[in-house]
Amino acid sequence: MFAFASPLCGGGSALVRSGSARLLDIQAVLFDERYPAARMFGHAASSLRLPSFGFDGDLTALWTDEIYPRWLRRPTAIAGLTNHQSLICLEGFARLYDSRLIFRCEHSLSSTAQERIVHATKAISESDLVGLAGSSWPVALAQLVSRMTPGGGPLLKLGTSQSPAIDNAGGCLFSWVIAPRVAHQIKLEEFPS
Amino acid sequence: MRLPPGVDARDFDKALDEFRTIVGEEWVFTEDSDVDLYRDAYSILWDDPDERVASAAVCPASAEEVQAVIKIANEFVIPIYPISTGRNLGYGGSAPNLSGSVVLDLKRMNRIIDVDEKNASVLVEPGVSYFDLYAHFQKNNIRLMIDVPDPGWGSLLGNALDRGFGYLTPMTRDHFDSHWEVATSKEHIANLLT
Repeated sequence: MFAFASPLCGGGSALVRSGSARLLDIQAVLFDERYPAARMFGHAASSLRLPSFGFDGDLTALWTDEIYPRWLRRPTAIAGLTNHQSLICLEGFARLYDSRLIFRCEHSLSSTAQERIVHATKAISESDLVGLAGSSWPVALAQLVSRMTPGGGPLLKLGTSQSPAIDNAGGCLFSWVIAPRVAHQIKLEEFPS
Repeated sequence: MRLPPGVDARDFDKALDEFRTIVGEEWVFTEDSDVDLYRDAYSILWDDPDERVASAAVCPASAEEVQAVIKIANEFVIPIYPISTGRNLGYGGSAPNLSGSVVLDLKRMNRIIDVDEKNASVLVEPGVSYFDLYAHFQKNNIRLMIDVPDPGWGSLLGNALDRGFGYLTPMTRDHFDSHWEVATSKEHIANLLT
């Protein structure tokens, strides 16, 4: 496991304020370091001061040492750029800890810009779409994730990431954000620790 | 919103209100984005009209809340599909056998009440997973080894009810036939602890 930043920092609400917007307080960014695009995403997230953790395809150590102890205390938002298998595991865990997938975008590893974004579960602005279609799309993705707000949008309208309909031939990476359920986030904001 | 079979929307709303009174507003799930999390990720009927899906989910935090929820479900003749973690994949999952059932999700009942190292026994709530028990053993330096199956996110209770095995089966038995006792009240738990 490779970490770009200190381990998950403690405490706080699942939300932070930026101006008038409520942003998710993402406490860990996970990336599968076997993929160059994911490594670029991890570097970019780290430069945005998001605690970033690389792993080599096996989530076990990252789960047991970092995410699981944190979620045992209370659910926190996490994000990542991984393959489908890793996302399935984390999404499965999320339900047990009162969290759910709030964003998922499927990125084709095709070199054709038009094919780069397969689909997403949340509305993406026109400018973000342009960034995600460019050659530095992992950097644009990190910026998008750092500005993520809770809930909203057409959540999971395309089916969860566990849908067997998803092409799992290995030609795709998945960006995602998992966050505590909105009711829980509001509760945390009202009663900060 | 989906409905349980044979239950009209008005009665279902009443039952959901009663569930909310028992377990709290935030622990009754009716939105699609929440209820969809209980779908079977490996269903060959995914998105098919015949796919087995829940109508709602309720998450009690105690045996007493479970009993109260069941009483209401009986009153309105609502089918219940109980899960502990719903992750004993290979045997069972979180999608109900009967479409429209209300999932009784016991994930909040995840306390490890007692570990008796000498007698190699544990007293746990139904939502305790193998990961939870392992972490508890490690944290408290307990010198016991778990007869663990593949899915670490599955629960001890779920694997036992599914007649599941662990990797130490040649030295033990399947988990249903191993000695276990179900406590259904605080008094019963107190008896087990004495």
